[in-house]
Amino acid sequence: MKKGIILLVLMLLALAAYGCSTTSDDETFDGNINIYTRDTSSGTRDGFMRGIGFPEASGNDAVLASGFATQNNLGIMNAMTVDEYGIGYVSLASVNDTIKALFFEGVEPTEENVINDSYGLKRPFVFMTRAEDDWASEEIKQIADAFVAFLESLDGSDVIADQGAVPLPSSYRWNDVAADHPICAQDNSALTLRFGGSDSITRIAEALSDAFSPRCGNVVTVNDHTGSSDAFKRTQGDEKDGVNAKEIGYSSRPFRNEELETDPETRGQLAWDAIVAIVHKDNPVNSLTAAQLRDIYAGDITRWSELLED
Amino acid sequence: MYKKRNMLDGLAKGFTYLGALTATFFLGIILYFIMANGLGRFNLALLTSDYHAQYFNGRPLRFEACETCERPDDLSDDILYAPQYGLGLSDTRDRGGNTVIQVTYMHPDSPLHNLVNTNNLNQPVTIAIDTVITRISYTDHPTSLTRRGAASMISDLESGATIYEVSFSTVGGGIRGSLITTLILIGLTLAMVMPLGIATAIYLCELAPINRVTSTLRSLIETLTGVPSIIYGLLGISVFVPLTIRLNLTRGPSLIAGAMTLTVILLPVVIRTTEEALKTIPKDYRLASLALGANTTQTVGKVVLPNAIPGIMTAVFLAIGRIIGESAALIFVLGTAVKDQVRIQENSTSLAVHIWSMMTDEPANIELSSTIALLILIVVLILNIGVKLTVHQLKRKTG
Repeated sequence: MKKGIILLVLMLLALAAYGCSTTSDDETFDGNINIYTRDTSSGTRDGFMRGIGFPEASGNDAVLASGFATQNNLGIMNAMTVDEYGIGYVSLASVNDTIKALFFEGVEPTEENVINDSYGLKRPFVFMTRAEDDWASEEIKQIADAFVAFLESLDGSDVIADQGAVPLPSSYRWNDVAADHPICAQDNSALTLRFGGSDSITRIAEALSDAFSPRCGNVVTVNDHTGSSDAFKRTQGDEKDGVNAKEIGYSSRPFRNEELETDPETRGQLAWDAIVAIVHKDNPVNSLTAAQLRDIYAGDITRWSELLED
Repeated sequence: MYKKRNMLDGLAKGFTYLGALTATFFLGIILYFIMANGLGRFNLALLTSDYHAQYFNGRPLRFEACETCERPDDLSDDILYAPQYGLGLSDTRDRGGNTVIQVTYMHPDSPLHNLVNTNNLNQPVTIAIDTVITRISYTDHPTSLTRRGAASMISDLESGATIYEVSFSTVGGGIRGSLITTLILIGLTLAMVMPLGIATAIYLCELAPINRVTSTLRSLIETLTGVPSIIYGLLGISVFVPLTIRLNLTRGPSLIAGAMTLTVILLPVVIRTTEEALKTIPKDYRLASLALGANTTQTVGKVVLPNAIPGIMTAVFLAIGRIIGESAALIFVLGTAVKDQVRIQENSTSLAVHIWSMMTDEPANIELSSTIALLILIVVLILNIGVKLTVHQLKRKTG
């Protein structure tokens, strides 16, 4: 009994000592770079890998440097608060002061720089509606049209900006075009508009729905978000007539392949999202280029000292 | 010789202590994490209020600044005040923990008392205390947004820009809908799975002939316990959802289909647990009952089942735990849309799926997720205590 307890205490102490061991001050900051990435289905990963000129790594883990860790958004943020030699990437909306956000090609990741197009590491948030002649009813189609007009208006941009994404420039107020959508003057509380697609922009989508509803006859909106690939599938793809069919689908990565064979009139972009490479706060590196990031993720640069030489 | 024996025994004991301590340690860490993150948001308002905020858009009727709306002396220092509009704002958080700007004071003479609905200029709307201001747009100034904070909104207001429109809403972010959905799911599923499961267990244990077919059946049921729930989700979306649509009960994923899927997920568990309970009842009871002239049905109904109630209640515990915790299958069959008005023939979202959709969002809402996790623990605890008390009462009655 006693022995067991002593053994235990010793083990716990050892654990604690290991946990508390601190690394010496980094006069010369050096260590193996620990790479963190999102999984291959992530829109953030797709945007990041394309942005740094490493598109083959978007859907393929095999081309990444060995020893990378796959984490979700939260996992990467948490890792950067403890792993001094780590590097990862998150969406600009997630960045806070517990980690260090790196400049990309010398440009600071800020909303202004995304809007004026000087910050290059970004991905689009896009949407897709049902095909021209494939609506449950004429009213639903008109309401969906009105919704698209709303999200492209200044009012829609405000909602998007408020949720941390960077909306496309807009030139008109909803009230200026409301007259073009007479359906919105009626009581639409018996009609339902179904939204789906990307789960990483749920909040933006819900905010848009909530703001739109009172402007269009209190139409009922349902936001059911399951993943970017469902944006196409459930509006114009295999599942468009299935039980989970949607009127409008959102995607947090650009449409591709078969998704692009749809009528361009049914697709649009609602916002940009900046992707930011992040490191631990004590990391002296401030800025990286696309080529450097590519080399890090491809395993051609493995130590931080290689990045600090110049 | 003895020394060695003692040492080995000590070591073995030490390992059990270590195992138990490690398990407790990790459970403790989880509990601590949930408490530390979730307790702050935990309040009754979160449980009883709507998730979706009700939005209004209003325009001021007159545009001149208020001259009598000086800052009252007794106004708390943390309320930011715009004397031109007689409006006091504070940065707060909604029920879900998102930052919002809330109206905390309004001067009686404030021009913002008289707004007209932008969509219907004949209809007056009013900003009241506790209303959340989501944005204020101007004809000659960039829009003030929630995320820039109350201070920035006040300085925009004070810049003398002309207000074009004020968008405001009720406080949202509550989880009443998800809580109700979860409770309904528990009720519906238990109502379906318990009779089916108990009947099957009685058949297997009491009535079925002891032969190869029965034992194969039994091992098949055991195998089903290990099937990942996402597979059942696929079954749900390809069988139960179309079935409920065909029966004209629903028009898509729904609580009914969700409960049906959960029933299938839980059947093996309930059958297994009930069967174990039936097995523990001494054979003498049955023989005594039969000897007194009761037939098999009477024996099962009046002797075996009442004595198996504690064991069957264990099955209920396990079932409740599984229903509350299930997310993978429900994402398909029930959907991820958060509802305030829950109807069993419509889609909705359970607490576990609500956590899932908040954690996949960017950035993730850890705080509210932890709060919901805490709520789940509490609900399970309450239900378990409730069931235990009922069993206790029942036992007393039957002696």
